[in-house]
Order: sequence, then structure tokens, then C-alpha cells
Amino acid sequence: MAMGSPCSIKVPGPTERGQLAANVCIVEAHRFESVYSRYTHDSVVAQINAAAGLKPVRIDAECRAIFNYAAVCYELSEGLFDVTAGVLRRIWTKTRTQRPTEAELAPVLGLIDFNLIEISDDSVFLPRVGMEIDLGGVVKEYAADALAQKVQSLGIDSAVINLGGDIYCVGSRTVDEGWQIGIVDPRGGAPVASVQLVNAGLATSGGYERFLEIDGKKYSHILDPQTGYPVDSLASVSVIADQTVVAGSAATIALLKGEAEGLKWLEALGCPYLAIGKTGQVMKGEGKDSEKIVSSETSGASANRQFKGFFNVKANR
Amino acid sequence: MRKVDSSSLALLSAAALALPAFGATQPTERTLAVSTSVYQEDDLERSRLAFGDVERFKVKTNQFYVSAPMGRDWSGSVRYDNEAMSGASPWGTSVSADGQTDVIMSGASIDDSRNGLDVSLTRYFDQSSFSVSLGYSGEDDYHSRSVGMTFERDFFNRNTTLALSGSYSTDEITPTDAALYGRVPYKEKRSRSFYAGLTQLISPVAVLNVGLGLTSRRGFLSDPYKLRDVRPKQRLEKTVTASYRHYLDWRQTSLRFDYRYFWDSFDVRSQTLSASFMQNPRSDIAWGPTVRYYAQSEASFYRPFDQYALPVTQAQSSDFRLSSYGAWSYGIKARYQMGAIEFNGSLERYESDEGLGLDESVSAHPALVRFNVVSLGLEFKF
Repeated sequence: MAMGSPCSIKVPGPTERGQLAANVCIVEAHRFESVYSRYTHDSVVAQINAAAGLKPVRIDAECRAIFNYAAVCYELSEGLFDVTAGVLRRIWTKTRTQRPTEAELAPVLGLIDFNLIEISDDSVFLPRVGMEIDLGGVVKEYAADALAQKVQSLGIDSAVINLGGDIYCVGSRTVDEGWQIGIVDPRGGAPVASVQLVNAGLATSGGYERFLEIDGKKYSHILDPQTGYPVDSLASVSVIADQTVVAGSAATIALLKGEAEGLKWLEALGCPYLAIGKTGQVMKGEGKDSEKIVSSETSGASANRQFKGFFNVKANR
Repeated sequence: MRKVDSSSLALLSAAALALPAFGATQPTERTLAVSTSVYQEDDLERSRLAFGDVERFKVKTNQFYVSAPMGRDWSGSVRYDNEAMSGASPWGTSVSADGQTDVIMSGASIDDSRNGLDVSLTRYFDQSSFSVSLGYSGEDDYHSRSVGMTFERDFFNRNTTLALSGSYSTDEITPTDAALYGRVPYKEKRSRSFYAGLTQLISPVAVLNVGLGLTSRRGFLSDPYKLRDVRPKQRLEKTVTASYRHYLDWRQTSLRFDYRYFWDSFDVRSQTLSASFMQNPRSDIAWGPTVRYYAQSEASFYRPFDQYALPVTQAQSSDFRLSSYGAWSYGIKARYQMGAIEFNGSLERYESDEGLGLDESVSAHPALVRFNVVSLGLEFKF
């Protein structure tokens, strides 16, 4: 376990090799957790949040690059992908029984704006008391990429890094077979598709497996940072890209855009994707550069059979 | 409203690649390595000795290497090596009563040592790196200083790497006992080298590298210790290299083939073919055999026997390294990993023979070497 999710690494061949790589990954995954988790008190994220409205907090170059990446996501999503949006959780609590009013949301919405963050080369300052950042939507996927690089630097050129569904496939499983990854419907049941990946990242974002029920109506936990209300979005989106971090943000932005706009975004982006709609219909896009996918197969018993021993990916957000 | 298209993906990817994990060509670990090796040439055949000692060169080498990342974008490395040389070397050749070549050797008094230091500094960028290196090598009678630069750039998701490098060196030769033996007291030479290479990942299990090299040497290119050795004052060398690496069965076994073609303004042509095989029977052990074939043609001014009647300005050399010959070498390499420490060792046997040369051989050169190299080392990453 690291970063709140089950994690695994798979390396073909002798177990010592895999063990060495796994040990390195565990140490590295825990480093990411201790540096970027919102929940550990001494993480840089916790420090930045605790110093909101008070003072800037020093950051290193890696953290700076993560903020830069988050800025690009913010801009491309026209403000939907916003690492300051986590404060909405104060309103949308599990124990909530009534839909929040606009008056209730207004003060919290005033704390959400990526553009308010004062970022310099070596420090970050949240100018308003109560502001919070959550880098979880970037760091877990980035960690899969970073671990993959780490594993490769150890001379291992065939492995799968799976950080709770954010996956990077290093090399291929055998000379002519990619790593076979199954994509599962977030609401349970059989895998809906299987893809073979070579040197590619896959990330899945889901909106429906965690939800709130208020007055008999289900609300997704995907919240629009501009309105403060849940987005009527796709049930789940899986994206394949050269980097897991890119796949993850592409999938998250698709969810935030709602079903119709989300599908348009995925098509325009040109990455291979698989989306599951609210009613369970499966939509696929081959992407413009489909060479990363050696083969893809949708549903059926054969896909199910092939998944044995491989990852079944569930939407985890 | 912002238009979303594949340029959005390019933007996202570019921002992702700026994340430090992707600038990972930079070493993230410090490496410390030490190694020691012994090179021992076989004795010269006594019947082919006209003068001197049959015991030929022995070189003991100790190397020390350290490299470390410096900050986020830099890395540096230092290599120091020390060689202790002893034994006799060929001074020249003469024709024997039966028309064969005999070798005139020095006495076994040669006892020299060489110290070399190379320092290099590399700056890493997103898709490229640039390094500068400075080198010094010094012996009693020889001092060499060099400076080099290398630029590497990755393309197409790092599936392709272009490398460009250039170096310049100046060498000073001050032969020992120059007055006693009538050797030149002081000479210089300068060399410039350029290299361009392309490495391409062909498939997840195959890597191909091709390169072109050009070296120009000017100045004193003769051997000051030979009795009569007069070489042109310029030498232009060209090389074409290709290497192919292939991984088999789940990357536990790798095969490597190398080819090199060389031709120069001395009219020497040579080709080298080598193959090696490395196997990991266990995760901590790797071993494998290596084999190399080499063949060259003779230089235009090569003479089997030194011709003292020729004017001293006319190019001639009886150096066996400029004759037509070929060689086979074969060896074995092994590595053992224990935690952060890797132990490595290798054995190599080299045998050269005029019968393997690219030209129809005119006569046997008894000074052609045969040698063994044994080396042991350890490498520590931390």
C-alpha cells in the first residue's frame, strides 16, 4: 500500500530481479507519499496548506515541475482541472443530507482558483486563509512514470508498475507480446476491454463508484470547481498515453467536462481511450498514434479469460 | 474557448516531460569503481632474436573512477589510471642469414610508469546533454593533454539518439637517453578527432548504432625508439562503425555484434568484427564469452627489414603494427552483484599472425604479439 491504493510491480523472469525492482519501487512510492500526501503532516503539501494566508513554503525543483504541469492542465481544461478544488470536500461530506445552497458554496468557491497561487522558482504561497491544494490527481500518475524510469535505470526493461490503477508498462512482456491490461467496469462485473501495451501509460478516472446520495438522488464525486456542484459525467474514462501522468490528466479532464464535452475532448486530444457512459455503454477511441496498443479487444469471454494473472483495473478516484 | 486538438496533447506531454523523472539520462547514483589488470605479452621466439631481450612488455594497470550527479542538471566524473610498464620492446628488424626477419630488441631495462587523469562534466537538458572533458596523461618521456566535447540529443521518444563529439590533443615526446642513442630530443604531435553516431532502438529487444569517425594527426608520428623509423608527418584516419545488440529470452541473454572498418592515408585498411554473448543465469550473475577478429593491410611505406641505405627523409617503418596481419582474440567476462557492489572480471587471449592479414604476406614478422589480459574490478553504487 502506498498513496492510499494497492500498488504492484510485475517483472518477468527470476524473482530476485523482480524483488530488487519491487523494493526500489516501494521506497520510491513511499517517498512520493511522504512528500505529496495531504494526509501526512510533514509533507510539503500539508505545509503549503498549513501556511495558507501566512507565508510561502519552500519547494524543490520536482515540486515546482509538478506545479508547472498542474498549470498546463488548468489552462487546457479552462479551469476545470484545479488543484485548489479539494476544499469542496468540506461541503460535500459523506454525512450530508441536503443539497448545498449557492450561499453555502460561495465562501468555499472563493478559495478555489489556481491563478491565485503565488508560485516562484523555489516557493509556493496560498494567499487566502483556508485555501488548500491537493496534488493527488497528478502525483500518483507521475509516480508510476517515475517508478518506471527508476526500474529501467536498474537495467530492467520489462515491467508493469501499477499504482492503484495508474499503470505504466515498461517494454513488453515477451518479444512479440505487449503487457495485457484489462479494463473493468467501475460498477463491477466482467472486464469490458483488454489492451496490450508497450512502453505506455494507462490511467483510469471514475465518477460513479464513489457517490453521495441526497434525497434519493446520486451525486458523483466529480465536482466542478467553478460551480461547486457535481458534474453529470461519464462513469469512467481510461486513457492511454506515452506517460501515465498525461493519461491521468486527460481522463480526469474528460470526466470534469461532462459526458458530451468529455468525449469531444478525448477525440480531439487523439489519445486512445475507453469511456463508460452513465448507462453503461462503452465508447472507444483508437487515437491518432495507436501503435502503443498492440491489440485491443472489447468484452466477451475471451477477454475475460485472458485477464487471468493480469491486472484488473478499477476506477479508483 | 480554447480549441482542443492534438496540440493540447503535445502541450501536456511537454509539461510532463519537464517533470524530473523524465530527464533521467542523468545519473541518479554515485558510482565508484576500481579495477586492476595485467597485460602480458608472450616472450619473443629466441631463434628470431638478433639482439636484446626476449622478455616483452608487461603492463600493470590500476584504475579508479568516480561519477556523481551534481544538483539536478549536472554530473561529473573523474578517472585516474596508473600503469607500470616493464620489459623489452622492438627497436628494429634485420635480415637473417636464411633471409628471414630477425628482431632487434631493447634490453629488458625499460621500466616506466604512466599516470592519466580525465575529468568530465555533463549538463543535462530535457532531450539532450552536453559534456566537456579534459585529460592528461604523463610518462617520463611522453606528455599528452586533451580536451573533448560531446553533444547528445534524443529524438522520437528517445528511440533515436544522435551523438556528436570532437576532441583535440597535443602530445610531447622527449625520448629518454636521446643523446646516448642518437634519438630526437623533443617532438610534438597534434590530433583532432570528430565523431558522429546514431543509435536507434529498432524494437524493444534490438538496438543498432552506426558511426563515422575522422581523425587527423600532424607532427611527429614516428617511433623515436626504433633505429630507423620515418613516417609521414600527417595521417588522416577514417572509420565506419556499426554495432547491433539483441536481447533474447526475456532479456536474460544479450548478443552483441560490432563491426569497424578503418582506412587511412598510410594506406592501412583494417576491419574488426567482434561478437559477445552475455547471459544472466541468476539475477546476480552474468557471464559470457567474447570473440574478436581483426585484419589489416600494410602501410605503403612498411618494410619488413630496416633499410639504412635509403635517405633518412624517405618514409619507412618495420613496425609490425604497420604490417599486413590479422588477429583473433577470445575471452570470457563475468559479473557478480552483491548488494550495491558489483564484482567483475575478464580473461582475454590475443594472437596475431601475418597469415590472417589482408595482403598476401611477404614474410613472417616475428615481433607480432600474442598476449593475455587478466582484469578484476569492483563497482559500488550509492
